[in-house]
Order: sequence, then structure tokens, then C-alpha cells
Amino acid sequence: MQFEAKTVSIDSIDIEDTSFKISTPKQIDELAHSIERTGLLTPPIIKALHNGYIIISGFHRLYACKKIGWKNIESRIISPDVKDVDCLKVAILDNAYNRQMNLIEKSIVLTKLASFYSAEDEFITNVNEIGFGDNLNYIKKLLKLTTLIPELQHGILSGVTPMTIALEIGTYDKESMFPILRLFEGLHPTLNQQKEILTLIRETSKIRNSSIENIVKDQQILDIMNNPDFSRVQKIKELRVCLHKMRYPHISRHYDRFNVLTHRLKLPEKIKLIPPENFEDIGFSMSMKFDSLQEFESCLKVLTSLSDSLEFKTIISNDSAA
Amino acid sequence: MQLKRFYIDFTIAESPVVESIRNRISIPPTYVESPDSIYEMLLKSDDPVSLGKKTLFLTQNRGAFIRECPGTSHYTCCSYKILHIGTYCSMDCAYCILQSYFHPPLLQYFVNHNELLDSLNGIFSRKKIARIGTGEFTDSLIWEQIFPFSETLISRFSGQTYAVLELKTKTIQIDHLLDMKHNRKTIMAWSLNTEKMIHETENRTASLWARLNAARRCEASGYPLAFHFDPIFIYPGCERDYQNVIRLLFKHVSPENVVWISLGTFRYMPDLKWIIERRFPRVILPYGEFIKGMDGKMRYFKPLRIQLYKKIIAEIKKCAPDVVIYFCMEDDEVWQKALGCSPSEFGGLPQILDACVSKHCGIEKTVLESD
Repeated sequence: MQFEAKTVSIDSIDIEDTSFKISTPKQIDELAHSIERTGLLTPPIIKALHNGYIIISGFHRLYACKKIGWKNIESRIISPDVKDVDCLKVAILDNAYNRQMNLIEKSIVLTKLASFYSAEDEFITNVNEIGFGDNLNYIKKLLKLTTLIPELQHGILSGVTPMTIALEIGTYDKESMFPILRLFEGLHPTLNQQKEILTLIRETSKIRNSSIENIVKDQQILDIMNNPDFSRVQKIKELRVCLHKMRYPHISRHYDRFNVLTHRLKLPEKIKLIPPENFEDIGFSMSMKFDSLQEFESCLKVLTSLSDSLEFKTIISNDSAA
Repeated sequence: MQLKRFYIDFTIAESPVVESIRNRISIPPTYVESPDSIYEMLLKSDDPVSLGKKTLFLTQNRGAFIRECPGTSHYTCCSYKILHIGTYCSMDCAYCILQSYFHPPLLQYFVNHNELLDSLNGIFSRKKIARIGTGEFTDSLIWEQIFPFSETLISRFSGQTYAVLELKTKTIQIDHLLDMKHNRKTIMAWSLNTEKMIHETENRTASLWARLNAARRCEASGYPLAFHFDPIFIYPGCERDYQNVIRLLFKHVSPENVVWISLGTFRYMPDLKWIIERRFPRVILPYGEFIKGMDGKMRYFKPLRIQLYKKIIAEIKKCAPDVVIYFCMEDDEVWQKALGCSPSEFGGLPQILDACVSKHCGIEKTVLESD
């Protein structure tokens, strides 16, 4: 492909035409200062039309030059004969060569590229050629990012919302998206915590036939989020416990009851009563630690006395108050 | 069956069974050398599970026709034998484990019936009691539309005294079986659920009323009957709903002809959850209070299972005090707490069920040596 180096008037470039723009908005002050100090190191690429030019690559450079008052700019000009799909590929390669594209930019690239190909195979071949790989599932996920609301896209760019989480939240109704986003913005949970919290909220809303918004605005959750004595980490912990109780009320009550009854046994630190896993397997187990014969005998006394305890009998009967 | 694609294994293209089936299916078949191209086609589709329900492949069973029920060691299994007539199902129950059991799922019908019958002869000649069913990897009667093989099976079983056949279904395709000589060696069995669950989750199945009416007609034709409440679902009002089903059941059939009733709450391999969520987004059954069981399957929390079982059993006992009830894949704690006994007190669950078929199906007591 041939480029003609030429200085053109900035006013002759249509900066409103964003057909080939793939970069996400960013502050241009620093770039403008840099150009002012050291000049324009890499000229933008523009395409000649019959009555002027459009930008192929270098939108921010042009905005910056305009901001500092330049009237003319040195550019590399693509011939009007070059097809749009090839112009887009130039834009992609020029951006990819100069910096790491973020996820939203990758999504913009794929969305624009997809408009040129109706056959999936052909599209994937071209995606692979520009270095995006050929993992169809990943490509499909990336494509969805441009359809997300700006707040979710911002969450991805700021690192608060991982892509998988953003895509799930993107399927919710708008009234539900914002309370969840605010919850995560305030707490910064890890990816696994976000997945767990979202699953618990989504499933609870299904069980209760209530909106996600209503679940997030449940008074118990608001109390946790608004508690000034809780640190961020404590809030995450309390939120998970609270949501677990909402999602699994009977199981939670069973465990609570077990803990209350076990507490009433007043077992010494060195003796532990362990329930069957998930209360599914048959058989409780006990562990005891001792470092002398005397301590061993003392543990045995405690264990023997348990058989008279009503609480102990209740525990091992494993009947539920469900 | 609402078929979209029809494939035939070219090695059996000339089989009389294939010829008969081909005449009943309006779409032209594609002959294939192996199932690989069908699997590839299914896996490439957006919804292989749905497409598999509309894709029929006539082939041979190259493995064993008679298999042991895939129970696990952690829970008590009935030691039922599976007669492997085909795979998957044209009905579309949201909870069906076959959706995640086969990779990919596909309606396969095995046409090498002579080999199947040879395997059965092997079972009959052992002179030991055997309970055999076709309703594990598929529904027993969905295939009757394309080939009425149950007639042959009923006839074969009627001529011996060591084994019983259980045809387990959610259909009502029994008309052609009513006048058959069965000698009570075939048990006609229905999977039952509450009207709410049938309506919400058992797509393309017969209604509860239709199933019970079909059972009544089979009873009138002298068939012994069985009923399976499996999977049972826990939801608000479920106790009352299951009790209603039981009362309705015994308004249609008499307890004396019921060989057994099995109970089993919903359990599934974890992979099934996302399939249900994707295919049936309005269905809330994956959101019960499940824990991971000892066999890796998700099960309702045990105290909840026991509580519901107790209510269902009390209602069955009220309507039919002498009918044998058993649990499918539960442990001794559940047996004891919900039913008040353990299978081991009677020699084990297989022995309990063998005694049932002896009583109801005329199996001689001298051959009560199920293995």
C-alpha cells in the first residue's frame, strides 16, 4: 500500500468522521504538551476524498494538534482507491503497533471488522490475520463488549469489573445493573468473589421471583454496606454470609443450629466435633489433641460425659428444624 | 417424534427393521459410515441438546445389550438391569440428566434386535431372577412410533418365568400392547410428578391424568404396574401437590396391582445446571438447596429430602398400606428416618424387589437368587 507524505490543512480533515476510529476516549492534554515540546513524531494516516480527508489512524494526535492551535499537519495519505476494509486494517495495525489495545478497543475493532464479512469463517480468518487469534468463544465475548452500557465499559477499563462479570451484568435489566455496579465499585471484590456474589444474587432473585435490584436493596444488605464500623474486607465477608443465608435458608439454619448446640457443649479448645460433610455422609467425628497422659484422660472424661448431654443427642440425631 | 435429520449406519441399511422404520419416517435418510459426522454436525450447532432430540440415527449396538444400572457405592441401588434399546429421548424434560450424560446427545435406535434377543435368552437361561428395564438411557415407549419392539419383548418375557421386564414411560403409547399375552412378566411403569412440575418442566410428555388413565387401562388388561416419583422436586407447596398425586393415583389403580413405588429426589451432575439455565431460563429447579453428594451429584440437603419423603410415604401408606416403597439412590440414614427400616433388614434392596416380582409377576420362589 502506498502512502504519500504531505502537509495538509487541519481544517480540510473531517474529524467528525469516526468510521475508522478504534481508540477509546482519553485525555489529550499530556499528548498536546508533548507535541508542543518535541513536535509530531508519528504523522497521522488520513485518506483523501474528493473534497478533503478523513482520519484512518491518529485521532488523538489530530485533536491534540488542533488544541494547540496548529493550522497544518504533516500526514501520510492513503489513496481514495483503497477499500474501506483495507483502511480499517491499516488503522488496526497502526494502533496495535504503537500500543497495547484495551478490551473495549479490541471489541470496537472486531465489531467494525465484522461489518465487512458475512461469512463467519472468513471473518475468523481475518481476525486471526490481525493477531487476535481464532478462539471463537473469546471473539464472541469480545464482540459483545461494545454493546454494554458505558458504565460497564468504564468498569472494564478501570479494572474494577472483569470482562466475564461485565458480560453477565450486561444481561440484567438497567435497574439492576447500577446497584450491582455500585456494590462492586464500593467493595472491589476479587473476580471469584464477584462471581460468587453475582450467582447468589441472581439465584436468590429467581427463587424469590423478585428483581435483582430488590435483592441488592434488601435491608440486610444495605445495613452491611452502610455500617461505618466494617472495613471493606469485613463488608465483603458479611455480604457473602448474608447472601448465602438468603440463597440457602434451610441449610444455613441447620448449620447455625449445629453451631449453637455445639457451643452449648462447652467443649475445651482441644476437642472438636466435626459434622459430616454437607451433613450428607453418615457419621460425626471428633478430634482431640493432647500432649500428656493427664490431658488425654481429661479429654476422655469430657467425651464420656457427652453421652448424657441433651444437646449432643440432638446434634447426632441430625434431625432438622427445617 | 418430530425429526429434522435422519441417518442410517450403512452397514445395516438392508436390515428389515431399518426398512420398516424408513417407511414410517417421511424425511429422506443420509447413510453414514460412522457416527462421527453426526457428532460433528451436532456439536457445531448452537444447541446440540435440542438438535439431538430431532436427529435419529439407526445403528447397531456394538456393546453389551444388558448392563448393570450405573448406581454408586455410596447410596443403595436396586440392582436393576438395563436393556439397552437406544439412547436419549424425544420428549424434553428440563431436568433430564440425559442432556449432559451423552456427548453429544443423539436419538440412537439399535436395530440388531436378534443380538439383543440372544442376550435376553442368556439371562433367561441362567434361571435366576432378573429385573430388566429399558427406561434408563431412554423412555421405554417413545420408539413405538417408529418400531413397535415392545410387542416382541413382552412376548419373549411372557414365555419364561425367571425375569420381568419393566417398561418405564411418560407417554401413553400403550394401545397396541393392551391385548397382548404378557403372562404378568411385563410391568407397565410410569414416571409421575405433580401437575405443576409436569406443566412447567416435562415438555412434550403426557399429562398426569393421561398417564394415570393409561395405567388404569393396562391394569384392566392384567398388567402389573409400577410408579416412579423420580425426580421429586422441593418447592413451596410440594408436599400437598405430591399428596394429591398419590390420592389421584389410587383413584385410578388398585394397590394390589402395584408392584412397587420408587421415590427419588432430584439429583444431577453439576454440568447439567448450565444446560438447564441456558435451555430453560424460566425454570427455577436448579436453584434448590442442593449440596454435593458423596457421588459428586448435586442433591437436596438431606434433612429436606427426609422431611418430604416422610410426607409422601405417609400418604402412600394411607392409600395403599401394603405397597412396597423404595428409594432410588439413598443411604441408610434416609431409609431409617423416612421409611423406618433399612434394606439390609430384609437382605438388601434387590432381595426386597425380587420378592415383589415373585409375588406380583409369578416368578417362582426357587429362583430368588438375584445377583
